[in-house]
Amino acid sequence: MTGFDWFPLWLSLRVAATATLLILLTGVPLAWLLARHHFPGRDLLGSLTSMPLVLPPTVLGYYLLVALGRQSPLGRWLEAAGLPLVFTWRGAVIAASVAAFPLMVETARAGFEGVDPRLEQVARTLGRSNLYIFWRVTLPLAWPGILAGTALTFARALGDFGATLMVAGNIPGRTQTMSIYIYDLIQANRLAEANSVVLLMTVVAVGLLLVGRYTARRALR
Amino acid sequence: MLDIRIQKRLKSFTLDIDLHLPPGLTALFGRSGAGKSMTLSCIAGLSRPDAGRIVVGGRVFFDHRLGINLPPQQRRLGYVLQDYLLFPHLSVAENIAFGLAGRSREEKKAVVQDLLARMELSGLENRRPAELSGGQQQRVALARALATRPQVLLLDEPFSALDGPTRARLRRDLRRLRQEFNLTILLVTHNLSEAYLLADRIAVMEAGQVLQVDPPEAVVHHPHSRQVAELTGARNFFTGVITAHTDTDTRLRVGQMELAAPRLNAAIGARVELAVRPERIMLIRKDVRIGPRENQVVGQIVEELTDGFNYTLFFRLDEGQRLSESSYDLEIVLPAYVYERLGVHRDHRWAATIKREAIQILGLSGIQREAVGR
Repeated sequence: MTGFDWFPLWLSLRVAATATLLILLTGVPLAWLLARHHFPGRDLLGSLTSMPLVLPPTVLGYYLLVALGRQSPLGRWLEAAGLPLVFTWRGAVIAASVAAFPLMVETARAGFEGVDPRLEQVARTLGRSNLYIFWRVTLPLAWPGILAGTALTFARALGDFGATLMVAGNIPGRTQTMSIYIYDLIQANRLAEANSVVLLMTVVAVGLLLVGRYTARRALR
Repeated sequence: MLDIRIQKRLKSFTLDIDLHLPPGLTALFGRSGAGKSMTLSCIAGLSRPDAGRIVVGGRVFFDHRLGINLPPQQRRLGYVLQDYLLFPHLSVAENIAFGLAGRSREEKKAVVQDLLARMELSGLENRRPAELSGGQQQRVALARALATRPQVLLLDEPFSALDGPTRARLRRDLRRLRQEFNLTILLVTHNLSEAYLLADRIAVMEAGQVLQVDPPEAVVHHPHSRQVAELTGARNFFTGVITAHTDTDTRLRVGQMELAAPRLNAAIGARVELAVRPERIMLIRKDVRIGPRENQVVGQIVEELTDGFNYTLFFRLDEGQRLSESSYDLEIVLPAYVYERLGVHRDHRWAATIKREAIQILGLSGIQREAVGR
């Protein structure tokens, strides 16, 4: 256990945190939209959102690679802008985000759907603006769902393997996350190190779960 | 005060309301699914009518032709529902202060304290709704609606989730609040005694239509139609033919009987629909000899039901006096103590008198009633 490599853990946490933040900013509004509004194509949008849950991660990663790589206009534009995604840690963020996105949308959506819409209606008859009602009534009441979604999202982003490997590759010191590092260690028959890394991941994951549950229960009261 | 003329297509019928209500308390009365709550929802701005116009206190809330549809926020009405709908994550004080936008902390506190005192909720301001009884929750909901000082209060079955004594208390509270806040109230209820007790006038609704708007007494005692009569507890429906008029009576042939009814202004030979209120038919005591009573009939009890307070007797009249061709002619309701005093259980055969006032003439299209109403 000489020279234990802390980089993969640090990278995984950074990728997961960034992905979770991205997902919070985009997934929560989308969840609210799906829960509270009827518009044409809502069901289609809902199904599309859940796609990453059913697609094999490598398939998902392949799509992302095609969409963001040099072959695509978007990929070329990103590279020209100095923000290449493929084989960078930012690529890992995108892969983890896409893989974990449905977990936030589904959970937060359930949270929003659990808020009695008549509470919002009564709030409107009391003269408050829709924005105020969202912040003061809807969001606090949907909070346990959003919190649970955040914990799930973070855990999923932290553990992603297939999609991340396809998009960001396996470059030690640059894009090698914990999951990929574990795979490498086992491939190289470094089982003692693999054991400690696996244990570390387990502790982090279980810890996250407990924190998520505890805060959700507090928020519910 | 309230001018409501709206149409809205619903699943099983079309809501078609035309109501012009002065200040005071109006009860929208009818069975569930009659469109009462939807009417309230349209007035509050939470549902949009397909057509029509809603004007409250001179302000146009909705006008289909002019394209006006004020959002609920700008209608400034109080709206209280059966299941209170308090914000569960906010304290009682925060709930009451919810609608007080743009006021200073002190002002909010003053309003909240005043309402807590009026609603007898003092000391509960820091509780969460889940820690309150149903009656307390409903008083908080009323306080929250009144905090913004609306002139019009919409109440949708506000007492039906409460137990008897709590309901009675809240009804008294409502009568008091009405005076204190000078409120015009629209109360949705399917409970006739609640409507009778609280309302200045009752609007009877059925299948999206308003059937009759009158003071409570007139609705119960002078229903315009069979539907209203049924909704207000009349039973015994018959068709009769006018045979004669005297100074005080109109005589009607119903089945095999000739009945004396209140004086009507209708031609002899005219057909009328009538109802006989079941609590206004009297069994005649057997222990005292008395002369003949008006509309006296003889028959036997074929079935009886009781809820502990009242007895319902199904009474079949003797041949020659029959009013109908079904298995019984009259449904009679009498209080349990009367049933016991008369010893009704001792005998099937009884004489009864159908009081003239028990006879309600319905659906008199084009026929004028004489000296009826309040």
